[in-house]
Amino acid sequence: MKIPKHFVRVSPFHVVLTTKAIAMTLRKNIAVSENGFVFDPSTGDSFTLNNTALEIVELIKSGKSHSEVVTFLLEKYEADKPLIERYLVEFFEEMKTYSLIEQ
Amino acid sequence: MLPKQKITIGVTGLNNIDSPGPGIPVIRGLKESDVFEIRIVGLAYETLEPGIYMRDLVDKAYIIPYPSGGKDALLERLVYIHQIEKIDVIIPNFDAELYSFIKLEPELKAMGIAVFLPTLEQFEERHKTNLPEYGKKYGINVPESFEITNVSQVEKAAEKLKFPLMVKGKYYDAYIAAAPEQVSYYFSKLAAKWGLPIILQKFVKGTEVNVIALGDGKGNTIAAVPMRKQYITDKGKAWGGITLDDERMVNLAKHIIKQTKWRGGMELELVRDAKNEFYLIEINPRIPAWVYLAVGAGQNIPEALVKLALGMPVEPYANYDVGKMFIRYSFDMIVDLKEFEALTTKGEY
Repeated sequence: MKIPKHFVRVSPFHVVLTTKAIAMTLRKNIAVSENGFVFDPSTGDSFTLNNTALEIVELIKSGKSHSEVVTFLLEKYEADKPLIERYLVEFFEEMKTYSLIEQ
Repeated sequence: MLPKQKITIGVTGLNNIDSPGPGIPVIRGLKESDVFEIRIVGLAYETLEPGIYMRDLVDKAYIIPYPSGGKDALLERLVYIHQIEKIDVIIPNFDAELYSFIKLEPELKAMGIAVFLPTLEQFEERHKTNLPEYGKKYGINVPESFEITNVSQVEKAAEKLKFPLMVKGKYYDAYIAAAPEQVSYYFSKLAAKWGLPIILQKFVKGTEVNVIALGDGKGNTIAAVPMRKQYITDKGKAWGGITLDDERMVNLAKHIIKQTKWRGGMELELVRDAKNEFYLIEINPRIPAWVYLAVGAGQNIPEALVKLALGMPVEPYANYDVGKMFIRYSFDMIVDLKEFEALTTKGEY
């Protein structure tokens, strides 16, 4: 399966390639519904995640580590590790832009 | 369950238009009261204020004289209306009329009509023109501003504030100006509508957020609900909004109420900048038009205000629902000419 864009509302961002494990903690009051609707109650912002992004967020919420998320994606999608890594970096950069993860 | 107490409340601000007055949302809150069974007497300035014709919300309506007519003309009219309606409480909802109602509070009290308004000192102190001083006094971030009475003062003020800057009317309306010519244009427009002075304020880029709050006059916050505007009209009014979980905003309202011993409803207009700092843009000394969102989120501010006005004990609200939204809509009413005729010729219907 090809990895689709993670947010429906996508903004341009600068991609930094890294192999370092990324700290992945959702801000504690961020609400994520089973449909992939994300609500930040402190700003009133809302976002829609695609299925892949929702899967990643659910994994993070359940306490999975960066490498466990990579392994999950490698097993599920037809993509090599560098692509998955890059995808995660992009995704977390975007999450950071929207202040959805702990800085 | 105890039977509801029957009371009559006079409410202004029935102009439920694209820049809506708070009257109708206030009434909707009152009608949902668990304590009161309320008869509403609408007090309107114009015969085409839509609220007059909303018969499910407004039981009887009267035209009252404009604030520019002075407080004596207003009192005379209220004496007449009170003879017929036996009003228990009046909730004024316009900035421009508050001065008269505050001044008339003793006379109204003698007639048996309660109001719950800020003191004249509180009302004047938070005025747009005094806001920088207010910020210094109470330790709140306020964008720098200047009041001007002549367009020749624009250049000097703009040097300090830089463009773009906000041009604000004495009571209502605000525009962003990117050049001196625009400031001059808005100056004339606002001066003609609301009089002088005009306020030039530093523009703070960020998200517009608001807090509605109610102070008991002793320093206690009875209600406070923060909201973010989600849809803003070309007049800068919220057409949609959502309640927020932001303790700092609630604490800011509590801080102001505690420091000033604010009495009555209020709205803090804030901008949150990119650094997550709040700037106080305005304090509106009355309930705002989005009050029904607070009611929907669990804090019936109009009901609590009436209780305070009647000297009843009021427990501060501890919670509200986060993520509650309001979305306004426009609606056409069909009105019989006879209703309009009665308002126009007799001033009541």
